[in-house]
Amino acid sequence: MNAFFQASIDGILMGGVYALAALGISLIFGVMRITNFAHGALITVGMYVTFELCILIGITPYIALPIVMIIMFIIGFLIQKIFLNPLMGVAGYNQLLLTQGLAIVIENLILVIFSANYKSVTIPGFDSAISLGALTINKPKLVAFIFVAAISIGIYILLEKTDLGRAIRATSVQPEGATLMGIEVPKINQIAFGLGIICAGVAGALLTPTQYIYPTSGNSYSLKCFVIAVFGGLGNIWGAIVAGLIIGVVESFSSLYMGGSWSELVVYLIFIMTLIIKPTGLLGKKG
Amino acid sequence: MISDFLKRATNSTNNGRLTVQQIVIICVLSLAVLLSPLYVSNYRLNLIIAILTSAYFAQCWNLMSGYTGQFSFGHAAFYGLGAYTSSILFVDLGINPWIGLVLGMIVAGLVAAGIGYLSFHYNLKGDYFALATMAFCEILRVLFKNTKALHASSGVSIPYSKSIALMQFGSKQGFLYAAFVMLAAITFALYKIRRTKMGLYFVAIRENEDAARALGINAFKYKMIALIASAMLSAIGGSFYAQYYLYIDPTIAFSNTVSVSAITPCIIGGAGTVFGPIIGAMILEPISEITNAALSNYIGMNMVVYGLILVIVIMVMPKGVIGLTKELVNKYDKKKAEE
Amino acid sequence: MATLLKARNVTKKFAGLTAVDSVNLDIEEGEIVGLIGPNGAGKTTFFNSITGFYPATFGSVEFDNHDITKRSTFQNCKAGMARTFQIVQPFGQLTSLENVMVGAFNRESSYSAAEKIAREMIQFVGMEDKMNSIVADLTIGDQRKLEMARALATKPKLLLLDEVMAGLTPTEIEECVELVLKIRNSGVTILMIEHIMAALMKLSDRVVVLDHGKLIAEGTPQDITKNERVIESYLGSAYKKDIK
Repeated sequence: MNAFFQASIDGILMGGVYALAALGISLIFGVMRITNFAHGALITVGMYVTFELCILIGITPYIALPIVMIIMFIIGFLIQKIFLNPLMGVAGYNQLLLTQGLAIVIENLILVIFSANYKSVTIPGFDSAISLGALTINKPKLVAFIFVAAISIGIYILLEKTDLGRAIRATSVQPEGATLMGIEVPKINQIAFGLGIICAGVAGALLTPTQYIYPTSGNSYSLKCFVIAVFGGLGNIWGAIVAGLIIGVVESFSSLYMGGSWSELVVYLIFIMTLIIKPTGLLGKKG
Repeated sequence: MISDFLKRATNSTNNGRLTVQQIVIICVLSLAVLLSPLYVSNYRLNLIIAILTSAYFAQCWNLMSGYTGQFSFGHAAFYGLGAYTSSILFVDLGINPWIGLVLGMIVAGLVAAGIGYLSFHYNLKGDYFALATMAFCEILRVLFKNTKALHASSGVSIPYSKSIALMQFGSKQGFLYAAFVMLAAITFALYKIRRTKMGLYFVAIRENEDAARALGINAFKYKMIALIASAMLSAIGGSFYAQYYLYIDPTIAFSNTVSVSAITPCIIGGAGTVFGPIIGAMILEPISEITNAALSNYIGMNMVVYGLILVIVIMVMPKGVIGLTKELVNKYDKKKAEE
Repeated sequence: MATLLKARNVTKKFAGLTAVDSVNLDIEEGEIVGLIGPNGAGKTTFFNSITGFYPATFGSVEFDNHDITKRSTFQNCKAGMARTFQIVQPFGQLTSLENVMVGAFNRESSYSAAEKIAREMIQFVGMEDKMNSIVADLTIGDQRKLEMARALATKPKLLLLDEVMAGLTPTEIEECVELVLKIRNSGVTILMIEHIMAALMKLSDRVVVLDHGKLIAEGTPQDITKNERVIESYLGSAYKKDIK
């Protein structure tokens, strides 16, 4: 029974980080109809930026978070402005391939700059776990979960309660209509892409205390994030969060009962089932 | 003069017949490949073999994605199945790789039929189809990585021999000719098929599936045919790869890199065109080779260049070299007409 | 004359909204039937239901004495039903000839035979000078004509035309009227949606009117123009303007 609860806790905590990264994918798809294959590589970028800040200034990843967010926003903003904006409205597979090309460039630039050596971040006082009877809670994962919750709420408020958010939502529903209403659609796209990339970067940053950092360490999250974003309904932000938590728990349980190497398989099978049964996802409109 | 030559060389509406210029180019290139053992070092033959095999794999992708418009992002699945079937059957059961090759085609074809049925029956399109193919490829990777009977993550090593009977062509030259024959055959087939009912149906589905269905095309059936044929041909490429490099493992066989390598030459040369994949491979492989050698001190730099080429091509010439050449020649003609 | 198409209680619902509501319609061989109604009346949805694009929620469709209610679009085309689209749906990167050949392959498997039919059809609609043009570069008027040629190349018994005259110049409309008559004289039955009233009234043997998914009137063009309900819901001022 303990194993069951332990797996639930681990799954939910991990699922929170998945949810945040997937939220970025969903936001970008919702606004621009772009499937961002560079998301995994940008999670890695988030990890390295955090690592460098920790080493250079001697701060913890949590203190570094605001700086990481700013840097990731700028990176996302520029990627959209320079590479994707000229392609808006061109055949969809070109954008898909472009983001794949960017993923290759980013991943290997990291390799060139930082070499393939594994790096890690330790935070004094955060290496122990909290004990609750027979259960243990990994401290960095708990803190990560709290940050994820806070940032998700922040994004929700931004989208629902601010003028910028309304402009983003208008653009996602009807780009032409938004243009007529005087919204600068390219600018909104850049901001939305920047926000999406913040999600990737923060997910990366929050993973640094519990995961080795190497040039492809974000990749294993890439397809998983697509799975979650589609499962939750591409473009649906709450869907991404709910789906992220579900996938986290499913993965944790399949790992417990079937062994870690097979858990990926379960996740992909859920994905295929979603595509077949309800491609608009868990919280999406009827298919 | 040059513009006229380029125009004839890129002409694709000549009632489906090749122009004289195109025939000349094909003959010159074929001769250059066939005679290359005479003037190229054994080591350099690797590059030519790489161009031929990469163009071959891109042609497979071209059939279903370039012609038929169903964008696959997981073609490594079929490549890997071909490579694995022939290798495991040979190493574990002593079955001749030539038979393994045929069985590999059948396995890849069956898996493709399953993937195609699920995807096309439930009408997956665009990005959703691309993601589905990617996920199916990942599923195969996880399966092979974790199954002892399939050698798990340690992969399969194939013993070296010099026998054509064992699908090893004795020398670099042997592999070169084999790869040439494969590429020539698939290119000829794609060229011919474009002028048949099936070929035109493929292209019609790519251009507008609703209109195609309204004109009596069973889109499901033709998408299935394109996918299964493409998968079976990819499997041949996979077997060939395994016999050439004598080793495969799940991360090589079912990697995203392999799936992307089927796409890139096609996009760079011009997707949906007969010669695009070959042109793409002729550009991409030498550049990879050069950057590999020149930047060997910076591990990863060659891949940065590869990625950048892909990005720049998509931004500057989304219709590839062939599309861009056509456009430039048209512009030049217009300008001349105005004068 | 034999009845070619029998639609019985054809109903199409989308998420609670009834776009087509229990429509009954018979079409006799050799007729030209005009289908009119205000925007959003369900005309195109009715086309989509009988051609199998979105199968009807209820009701049945009989074509050429076979029940085709559950058949898919491509099967209906094989059975002899062809259509054009309200928004043209060309194979943009192909030539005119290839576009029409796709249709011709519905009855022919040999490339040269299909090419021959396609050439004839392109001549039939008067576009022989654009045989090898890339279709995306043609004008909308030409694309519409080509779409008719493409549909005719499938050798249909029934041709469904969805606003083929929209956006054409007055001269083009006149040509198009001639073309539709020529098609009918070649033995093809026609059901057409059209907003250009003068042309529709001139062409149709019979006119049916849809409003809010329901069939509200049916009769000769003369009857329809006098029908109070039709004038109120649709013809009104638009028709008076057209007539002069």
